[in-house]
Amino acid sequence: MRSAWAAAWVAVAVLLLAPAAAEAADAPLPVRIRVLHGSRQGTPGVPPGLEDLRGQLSATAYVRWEQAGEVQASMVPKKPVPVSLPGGESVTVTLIDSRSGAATFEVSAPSSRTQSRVTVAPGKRIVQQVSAERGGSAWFVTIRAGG
Amino acid sequence: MKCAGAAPLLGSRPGELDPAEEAALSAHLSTCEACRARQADQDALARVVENGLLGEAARRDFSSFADGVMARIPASAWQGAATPGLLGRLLELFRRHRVLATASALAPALAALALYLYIGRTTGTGAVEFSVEVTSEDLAPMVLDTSDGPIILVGEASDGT
Repeated sequence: MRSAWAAAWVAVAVLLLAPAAAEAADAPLPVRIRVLHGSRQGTPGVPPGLEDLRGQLSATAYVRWEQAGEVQASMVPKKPVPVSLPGGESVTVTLIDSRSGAATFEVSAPSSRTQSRVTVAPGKRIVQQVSAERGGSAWFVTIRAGG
Repeated sequence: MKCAGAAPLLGSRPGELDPAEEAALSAHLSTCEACRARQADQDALARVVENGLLGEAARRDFSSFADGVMARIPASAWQGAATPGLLGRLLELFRRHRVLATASALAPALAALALYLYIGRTTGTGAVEFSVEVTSEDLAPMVLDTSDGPIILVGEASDGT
């Protein structure tokens, strides 16, 4: 009888502690980062590869979109990932935290002297303009945790 | 064997007669049509009675029979001289049904755990849709909220180039 109760309580304790232990492991987080070019002029269009972003992109004043690059990385907290922009500029994306079912990223864009810290729930994407608009167009990065 | 000797043996149940009686009755029935007819009548009557008794028994409701019997037994006869309290009865129940007791203790714990994990997961994704902090030295950032996630716009270069 005692052993049955002991086994039952051990099972409950293991089940209760397992999620916390898994979270504490800080496993690398697969992240997909895409570099986009958005223009206010030109024929409106979103390429097939950016269809998943159409909802967000259509909320902006930019009508013509093109993908200029992509980085897929297994990010660990506090380790920046550089993302090159056409023209020699670059931005850095840093995973700050990925616990509690959400991921926090820091995006630093030296060219626009802009820094952001964004926390998103799983499945959500960040679309961030990383260069000031010039001539009706600008550079953007999109970040999605989970690849 | 004559009819007077065979008559008491007619209608006997299987196994009721010893082998000698059974052999004598069988020999008599093979030669006596009247006794065969009586035997057939008794068999038919037995079947009618059997079916009638079974039907009558089937109409009775025995679902409360066990409870009725238990209710008539004095509590002291099966609980012991001293009536234990609720805790004592509970422990006794656990002693008698260990597996059932363990399972019944685990079931609500696991259900509570599942609920805890489910609530934690749903509130984790629901409460933290997103949060944004943006700083820019010379641009005016703007955040758009969409169902797919935030959009951060920093606007146009101040020099207009």
